[in-house]
Amino acid sequence: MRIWILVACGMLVSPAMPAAAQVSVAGIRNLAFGSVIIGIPSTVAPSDAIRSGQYRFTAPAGARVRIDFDLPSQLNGPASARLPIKFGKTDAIVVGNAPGSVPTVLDPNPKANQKFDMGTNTAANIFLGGTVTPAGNQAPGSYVATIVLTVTIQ
Amino acid sequence: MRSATVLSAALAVGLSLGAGALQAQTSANINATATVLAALTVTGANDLQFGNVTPGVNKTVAIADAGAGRFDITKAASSGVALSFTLPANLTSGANTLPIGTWTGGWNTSATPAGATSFTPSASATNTTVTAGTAISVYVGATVSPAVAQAAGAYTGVVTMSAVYY
Amino acid sequence: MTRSLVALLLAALPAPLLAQGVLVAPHAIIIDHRTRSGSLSLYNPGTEPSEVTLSTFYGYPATDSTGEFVLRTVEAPDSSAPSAAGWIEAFPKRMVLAPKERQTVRLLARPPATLADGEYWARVVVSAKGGTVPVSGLADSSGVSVGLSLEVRTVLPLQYRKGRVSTGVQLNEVSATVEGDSLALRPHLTRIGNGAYLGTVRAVLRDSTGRTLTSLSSPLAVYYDMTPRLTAPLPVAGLPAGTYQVQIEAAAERQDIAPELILASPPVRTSLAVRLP
Repeated sequence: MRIWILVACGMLVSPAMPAAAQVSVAGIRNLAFGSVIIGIPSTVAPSDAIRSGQYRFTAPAGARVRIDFDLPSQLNGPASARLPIKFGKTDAIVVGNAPGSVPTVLDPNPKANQKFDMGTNTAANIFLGGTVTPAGNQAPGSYVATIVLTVTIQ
Repeated sequence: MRSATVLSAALAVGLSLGAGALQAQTSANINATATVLAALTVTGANDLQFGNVTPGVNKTVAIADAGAGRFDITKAASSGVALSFTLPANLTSGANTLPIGTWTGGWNTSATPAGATSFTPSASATNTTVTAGTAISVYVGATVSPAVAQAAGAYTGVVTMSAVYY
Repeated sequence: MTRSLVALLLAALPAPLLAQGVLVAPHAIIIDHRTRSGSLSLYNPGTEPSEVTLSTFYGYPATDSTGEFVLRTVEAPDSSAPSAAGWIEAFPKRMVLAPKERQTVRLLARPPATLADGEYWARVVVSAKGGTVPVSGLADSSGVSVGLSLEVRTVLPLQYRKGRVSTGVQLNEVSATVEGDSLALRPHLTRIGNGAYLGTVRAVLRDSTGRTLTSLSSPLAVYYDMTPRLTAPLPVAGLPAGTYQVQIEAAAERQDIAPELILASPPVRTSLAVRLP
């Protein structure tokens, strides 16, 4: 009985976490290569205002967040066809929402261990580019793959 | 002592349970999308060269000769391309003309005329159809027939190959 | 003097100019009435600028009496012809592509207001030519200049689809003969529905045990009736005289065209016995 009373007391006294301590992420725009030609690599820069992928995340001001991408190595197409995709070390950019925020280049690849200090920002956009390389015998058609962004408060 | 340990643990459990719905990590998805287009490339690679020509003496360039004209096509492996030609009957130099004819043709999936499949291109745009391979070389030859009194000048013409995709 | 001058001038023709070409994608254009627009990507793979022009005309593939492919063109199609050539326009129509430059061409449609549901056809012509090279090093006071121009044309099918469009093909009257070292098939194909049939025809020759002796696969574009001549090589060692089975199938699928652009249609099959001497 005493144990359960102590558990309840612990729950009562544990500080309520402020709403701003939460982090949230939303996918805003797909990374859209559009029409690509067999045999010719096609690149979308993260700065491309229309075709680059975009996420938006929120985190408390002053927090440090870790940014992790789960990137595909290929897009899936018709009849099990695969379209190779690669991401370079400068294929991601993060821009905070505070006035005067300067874009920061990120390496989206795994194990890059990318961190971002929120500073006075309470939200930020991440823009993602990449390069697809259609083979000479690439099957025509539509290709798609999923890109996952995980934001972790450190 | 043991009771104190148990009681401390119970309090810690309560504290951790009371931390409630703190989100320190979250994820979201977007897609990477692309539409792959098949392509067709047609290139005029080598002019049809007759070199020195003597008036009154016909000269032929065969498709296997170094001076043969060559077009290169790159296409999807499973696609079909029909080849159509628009060929001059005469080369011209001002008001003067120099007859050209007896066109010969051959296509091959390797960049050599040896073993090429023969066809006859003509001024009336006859066709041959290529479905095999992705890289096709098309060779063209002809015969010029200068007259004995062929006027001096530089004679030119245009050879047009149409790759008709169907 | 005349002979030697002719020889001299022709010999002075410049070293061959690597003529120009252009990469065109896609190689089949499908435009939906809801957007009334399509696009082409042009790319100059060469090392010299290429002058490119675009035009349209009405034409469709057919076969001649020998089964060879021909492109039937109609300069002035009448109102009964499903021609889109008169109301499809390319922007830009003319350009100079620098080496390795890519250009997107928009194809905009202005169909008649009373256009009925169905599919309408045109051929888009992409012409590319390089520059003219003047002769050099010829000490001639006549001022004659010599140029060579080479032109390549890529002719692509364009299909404009409005409303309900369907297609299919009937496979009738297949003939099979041995021509030298090849098996030649002449299937008579009749298009049904109001859209062109884009697909693939496949055929297999089997012996009495079901063993495959030869096969063929060929892209198909059936706009009207056609009887293409399709060939497959026979085994080099030859085949004993006897009766064999040919199975032939037309399927609405193409490896070189995105599946979502192909009008769906169930496959059609037939088989026939062929006697080899």
